[in-house]
Amino acid sequence: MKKVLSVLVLLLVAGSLLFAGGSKETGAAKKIRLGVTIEDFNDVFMRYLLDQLRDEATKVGAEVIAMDGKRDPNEQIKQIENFITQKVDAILIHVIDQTIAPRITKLCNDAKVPLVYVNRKPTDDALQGAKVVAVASPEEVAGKLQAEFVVKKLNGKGNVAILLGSLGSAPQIGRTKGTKEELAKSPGIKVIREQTANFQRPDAVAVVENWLASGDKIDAIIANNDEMAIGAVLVLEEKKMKDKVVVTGVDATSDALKFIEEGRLDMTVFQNGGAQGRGGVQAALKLIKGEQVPKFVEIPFEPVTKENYTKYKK
Amino acid sequence: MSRINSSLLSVLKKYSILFILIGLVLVISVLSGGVFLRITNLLNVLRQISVIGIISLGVTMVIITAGIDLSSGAIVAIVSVVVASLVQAPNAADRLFKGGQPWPVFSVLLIGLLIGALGGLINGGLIARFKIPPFVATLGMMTFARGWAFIYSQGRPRGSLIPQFEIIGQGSIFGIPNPAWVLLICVLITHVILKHTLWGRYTYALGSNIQAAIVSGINTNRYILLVYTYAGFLSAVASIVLTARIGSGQPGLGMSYELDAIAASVIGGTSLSGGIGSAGGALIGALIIGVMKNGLDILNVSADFQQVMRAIIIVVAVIIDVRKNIKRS
Repeated sequence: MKKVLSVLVLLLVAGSLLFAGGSKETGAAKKIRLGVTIEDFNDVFMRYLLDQLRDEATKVGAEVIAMDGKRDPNEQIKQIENFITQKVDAILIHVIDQTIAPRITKLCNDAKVPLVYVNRKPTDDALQGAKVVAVASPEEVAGKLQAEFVVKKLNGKGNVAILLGSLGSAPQIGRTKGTKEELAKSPGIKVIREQTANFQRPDAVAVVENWLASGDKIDAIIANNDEMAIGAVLVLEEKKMKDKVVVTGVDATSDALKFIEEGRLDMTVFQNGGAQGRGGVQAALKLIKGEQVPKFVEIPFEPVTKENYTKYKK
Repeated sequence: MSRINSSLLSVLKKYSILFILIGLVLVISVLSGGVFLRITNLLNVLRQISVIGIISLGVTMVIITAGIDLSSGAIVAIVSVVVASLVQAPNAADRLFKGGQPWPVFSVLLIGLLIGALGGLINGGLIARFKIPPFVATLGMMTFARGWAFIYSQGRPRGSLIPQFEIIGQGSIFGIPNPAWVLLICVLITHVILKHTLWGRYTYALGSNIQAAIVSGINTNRYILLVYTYAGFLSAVASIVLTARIGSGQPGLGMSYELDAIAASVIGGTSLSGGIGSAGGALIGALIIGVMKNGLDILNVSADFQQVMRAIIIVVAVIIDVRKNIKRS
């Protein structure tokens, strides 16, 4: 038994070495190589962002080495170190946590490797250095757009509940901050409930069921993403209350667009992952060639409602 | 008189976890001004615990054999995407199989349950045949099944399911939500298996003393296979209920559900060292977790603080329960 196992293991190791050799050979042709690290390959939006990055890189004949950050900041720092050792021509990072950005900027500056922050803009102290730029959509704006929509719908008066994403994640913090700052401008609006549903539809279903059971009057639900917003809609429809509550999400997923088309979801926010990915690759190429690139390119969030959803359907 | 007292005490001890649940319900009912006890809310609780409850029944049987199952959440994910992809409306924008028709619901359920059972069977095979520790074998299945869920669905949720399928999670019979019915049926079946069949008796025997079980001629491998297959099967049941409830198959579904299920099982009096546990206990464990979550939401306890509260209540419940077992032995 043990022999069979050890032979199997040997075969596996040998096989993986073969594959490793194969990928090295393709890199031998003098191609531009971009090191890319993304927070989490399992996330729908992040995967889309990566696809867009890859497409753009393929168009200009560059090779992408993609790494999964697995939601672990430490893992991402290791990946940056590995990229530098591999001597990639530029690094694109979808940074997991703002607080590690200064460290990453320093690593790249020391190694003189161009660095592009994609999707999330780090704080200014992490944008130091001649070859460090950001192509991003600040999360606060998404939350602000949701709040503006809700305030208008409620005519500046009513009770709002917020469905939070995974606590401590960048979108949860940024979007919630933007929402609350905007809501605070309207004295008639009160935030009466705030609870996490971890960006997940089933969690949101349970939380909203419990909110409604408490008997508090809720006029609008602002969710940090579409999955949670849809969860809220499902519960409201079940309790025949959807016409009394405004619901908004973020992401403009295909499910959300369908819900908007059917009049079940009131609003979502489109984050232009395509423009972020393409813009990021273009900025990296310019930096490699030594051309001028603006420190920060903002890719705007766009509000999506029944009036304009067709523009975003894929 | 003293005899009555001591027998009352022994009843209290035997069902201490049930009394903890009742105490929790009383406290939350009072604090919420009776809101908790409204029928609609009680039905909410039943619906909310159904998924973890169903999974924890299988996990309980596994833990009784002194094993562990970390793959439940990942099996929920793979079953969810496969089942959903087969019952998507023909015109769904995110349809995985473009241009196809939804399959008959019955055959889809069968496929989903088979996949779950197969996952469990592989777990059992690795443990029984190759003597891999259950922790490692099911950890492998956890990433394996999760990986396939993403490969199969191409990393995207698959929604727009046909209403005939969604009714499983969204409908109700005699005013009781369907997920709660499914949970109750699973509790009954698991209870009968554990208390009234040879399979059940051997399950306890495996966990109490596996050497004795082998010596007395029990085909231990066969029963290990059976127990893990049953756990995988129940994860599939839970997945179908959940997928129908939220109207979407998702590769990220069920993340860390295995831990909630293990917690429910242990709170319900299952001993991690094997040999002790019951279906009713698992149900009560799931209820304690569910009632707590529901109560804390109703009372508007902040998200950060909820995590701490839940930890404290779970640990205190188990401490009370464990003390009872120490005294008895």
